[in-house]
Amino acid sequence: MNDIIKIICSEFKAIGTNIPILIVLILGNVGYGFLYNLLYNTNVYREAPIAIVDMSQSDLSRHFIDYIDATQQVDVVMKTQDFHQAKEKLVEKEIIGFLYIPSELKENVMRGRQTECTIYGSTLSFLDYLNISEAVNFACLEINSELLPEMIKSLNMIDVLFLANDKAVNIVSEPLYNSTEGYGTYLIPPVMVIIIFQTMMITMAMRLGGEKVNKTTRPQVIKSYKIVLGKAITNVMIYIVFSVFFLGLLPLIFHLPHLGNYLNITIMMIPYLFATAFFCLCLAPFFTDADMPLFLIVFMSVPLVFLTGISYPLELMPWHWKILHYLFPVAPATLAFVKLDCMGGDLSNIRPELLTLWIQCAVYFLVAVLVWRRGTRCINNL
Amino acid sequence: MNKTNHHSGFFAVVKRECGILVSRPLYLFTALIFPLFALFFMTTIFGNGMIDSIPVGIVDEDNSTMSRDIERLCSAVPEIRVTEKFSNTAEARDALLSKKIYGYLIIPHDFQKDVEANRNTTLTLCYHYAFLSVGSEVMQGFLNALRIIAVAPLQQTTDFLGIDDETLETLASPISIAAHPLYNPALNYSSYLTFPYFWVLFQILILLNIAYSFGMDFKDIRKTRECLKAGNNKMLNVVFGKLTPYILIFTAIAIFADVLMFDIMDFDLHANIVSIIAVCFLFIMATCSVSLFLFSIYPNLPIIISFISMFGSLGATFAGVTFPVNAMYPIFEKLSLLFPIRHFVVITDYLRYESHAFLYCWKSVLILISFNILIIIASLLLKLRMKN
Repeated sequence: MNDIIKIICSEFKAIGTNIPILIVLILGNVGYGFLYNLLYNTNVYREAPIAIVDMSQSDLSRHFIDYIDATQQVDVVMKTQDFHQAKEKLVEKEIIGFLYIPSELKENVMRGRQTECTIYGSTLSFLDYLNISEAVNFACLEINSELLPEMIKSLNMIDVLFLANDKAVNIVSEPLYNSTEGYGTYLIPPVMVIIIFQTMMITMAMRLGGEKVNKTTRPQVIKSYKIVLGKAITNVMIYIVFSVFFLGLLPLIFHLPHLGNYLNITIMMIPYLFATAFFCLCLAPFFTDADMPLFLIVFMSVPLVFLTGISYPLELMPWHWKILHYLFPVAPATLAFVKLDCMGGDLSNIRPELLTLWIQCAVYFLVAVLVWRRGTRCINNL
Repeated sequence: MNKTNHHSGFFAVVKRECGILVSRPLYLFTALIFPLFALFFMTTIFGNGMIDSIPVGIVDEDNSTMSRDIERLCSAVPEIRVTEKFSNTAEARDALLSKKIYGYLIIPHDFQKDVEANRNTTLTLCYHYAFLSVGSEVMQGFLNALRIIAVAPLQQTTDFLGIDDETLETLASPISIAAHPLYNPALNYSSYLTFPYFWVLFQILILLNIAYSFGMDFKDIRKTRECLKAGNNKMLNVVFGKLTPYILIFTAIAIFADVLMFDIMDFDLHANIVSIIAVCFLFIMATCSVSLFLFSIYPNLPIIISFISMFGSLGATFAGVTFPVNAMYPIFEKLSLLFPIRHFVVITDYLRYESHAFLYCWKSVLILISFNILIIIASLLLKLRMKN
């Protein structure tokens, strides 16, 4: 026990006197945390500019356009009768799409015929396409229900007039766990958990790499499991503070979804932080200097967002990537955090993730001990 | 005579850098294997690229013929797949929390009776919006399936009066909407993200490789002298000599990636493949310049590598592929212009999807080229630092 405490003290001292590590720890964590929140703080992407190619130029088409403009998703910035002009504006990225209303709209309604309007939307960003598609479909539903009595009259059959009184089935859609329907509120909570993983790996790897370069090792009498535990506990202690910052403070400052209770989040974070620390210690042989580790860790940041299954469903990924999901502690931890804090789940809902994290803890601890035992032996041989 | 010296200096640095590159397998990994891994990752992670057959549930409180019809309708659309049936909402929420399903539809008590009696009735569809992309697909799937149900009450009367389904459809929706998604008609995620995100990952590696390569030589005065000596004491020889092997490797990877994506995987490409390779080359040059410039401002390897890592990761956001940059605060929109990846994405979007692309994106091409000025500034800064 004394040995472990000694290691913890010397680790704290080593980290506290290493300027680059301190910079990553303090400036990196705080900077990353605030910057990412600020980047997505606008949260919802609304009032996307669109155009309408109104060939009908009737009171009905103007009424339809008013409905579209009134939605919060889009802003009608141009009305024209020139299809090519609208297409040109789309190519120049002044608008994200346009709606084509054919000339026979009014006439068709009066004669009881259906008219097809076409959305031409850019898919360069799927959010753009979603905006124009939602706005036009919503406006269409509204105007169609208004037009129903007129359409029935056009049938010119006395006995169908009472049809106008028939009620359609209402369909209400309710987005769950992201009431603002925002992009920030969707992306930032998982990103916070990923940043914890990344910066913890980076600082630990910088320390391990630096140690190797300076050839400073523990006295040989200390058993490797004590070294592994000592190093892991030090970093977990440091990262408890940053976890409070990322998962407790930032959601309050930036009004992120925060439905989970702190006890459950703590129960989830303990195996996550330990699994991450042991995982990093397993990789120690690859950290040959203080800078090289950043390559692998930073490079993995974007793939990790995908591997968590938040942005693209895990079920649709090929099997070999699903395996990676279970190898990195960050993937189950991110899912568990989203379930707890964004969806208001409890421990019973994150059982599979908790189990995965504890298994990772155990396996990575054992591997780390073996790696360090071998490492010490090699150093003894030098 | 001078010219000969210049050449021998430059080539001597190139030779020295090649020697360093093959001296440790680690360098081979960061310059060659990691980018190829990124390529493999981005081309395979999305499966077939279509978000379909998403598991959903139905909360059937009515248990009637009509509710079973609804289940059948929902199973018939490609986006969703009914995998669970629940008798109450609590069970469905639980399944949603356990990620067994991504959304559910609530069919209320006496739904069929209400429809038949022409009373107001509501179907509620709930979808998972903490997973935004899947959630919106689930919503779309349900809405497509339920379009016909919305007019069920009318249908009974029209059936009675002998009005055909086509007329009913016209009555219920005199205006119909046809969707024409431009550039990516199938809304395929692989076509959408694979190309730009491979380059996001690749630019992180380019930035780090260059900064690391210069950092290793400039952190040790002995190595710096050796390097300068090889370059005939000319900083430009050193800079270009060190950059050349990397630029050649990265360009070879770019050619392979472009051929793989546009020739073998058949992603859309309006321009010819040579133009896109040329733009990729310009981007590689621009990214190397930025990395070298950042390093020359503060040539302390650990700190600058940390900063460059952050710069590279921010490229994923500022590329503006998923969340448009114009939806961010104006200051971030302006800041994104400092990232070569932003301009690269603008140019390649045009090359991939539009004819006469350069007419629209020449400004971005010029900006990408002008990033190269940073190499000269960086050389001057490094020279100045050497003198001091």
